[in-house]
Amino acid sequence: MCLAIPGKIIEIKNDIALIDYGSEKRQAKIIIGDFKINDYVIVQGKIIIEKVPEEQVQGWLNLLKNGT
Amino acid sequence: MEPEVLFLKYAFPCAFIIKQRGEISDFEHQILEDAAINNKVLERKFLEKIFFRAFERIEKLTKELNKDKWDYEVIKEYFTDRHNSIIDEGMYSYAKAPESLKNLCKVHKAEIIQIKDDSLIVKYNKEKLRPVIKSLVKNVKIGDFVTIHYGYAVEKL
Repeated sequence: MCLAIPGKIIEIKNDIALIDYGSEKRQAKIIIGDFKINDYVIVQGKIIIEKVPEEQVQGWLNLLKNGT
Repeated sequence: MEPEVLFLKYAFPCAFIIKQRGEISDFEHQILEDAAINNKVLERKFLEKIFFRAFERIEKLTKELNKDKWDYEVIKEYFTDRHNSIIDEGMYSYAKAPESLKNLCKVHKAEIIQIKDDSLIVKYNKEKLRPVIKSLVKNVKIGDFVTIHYGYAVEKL
C-alpha cells in the first residue's frame, strides 16, 4: 500500500526507482519526468506522481502528522 | 452516475493522505479503492465519516445553493470549483501546506497525451505533465480531457 509522505530516491534502474522512507524502502515506477538520486518524491499506486523540493519535505511531514 | 460514486471517484485519490494520518486502515482503503474503480455505491454514513473534512465544506455549500449535501450538482460543484478555491485561499490546514502538496490536492482539467498500461500521461495548466493512474476512468483516448486529483484521472469530460 502507498505511503503519502515524500520518500528519497536512493537507486534508479531503468524506469524503476528505489525509494527510502526512513523506516522502509519501496519500489516505484517512473512514467515521466527527470528524476535522480536524492530527489524527494510522492508515490501513489506504485508510480511516482510528483517531485517534492527538499525545502518542502518538512511541510509535508508536519501536515500529515498534525494536519486537520 | 450515483452521487455516492461521483463523490468517491473525486475523494478516493485523497484517501492515501487519510491513511497516512492513521484515520483509516489498509482494509478500509482497499474497500474505497474497489468501490471507486467498480462504481459501487457505498453507505453515505461511511463516506461522511471517512471524508468528514470534505463534508464540513460541502455543508457550507449546501446552505448557499439550498440543496442537499448528496445532491449530484453540489458534489460536482464542490470538487470542480470550490475545493480549489479553498486551497488557493489557504483555508483550514492548507495555510501551512507546501506548494507541491496543494498542487496535487487541487482538481485540474487535463488533456491525455499518452496512454500506458495502467497509467496516462496528461498535460494540465498549459504545460505541466503528470502521470496518473487510469483505473477510475473507462474508454479514454489520446486528446480526451479528464479531471485529475493527486495521481488519478477521475472523470472523463
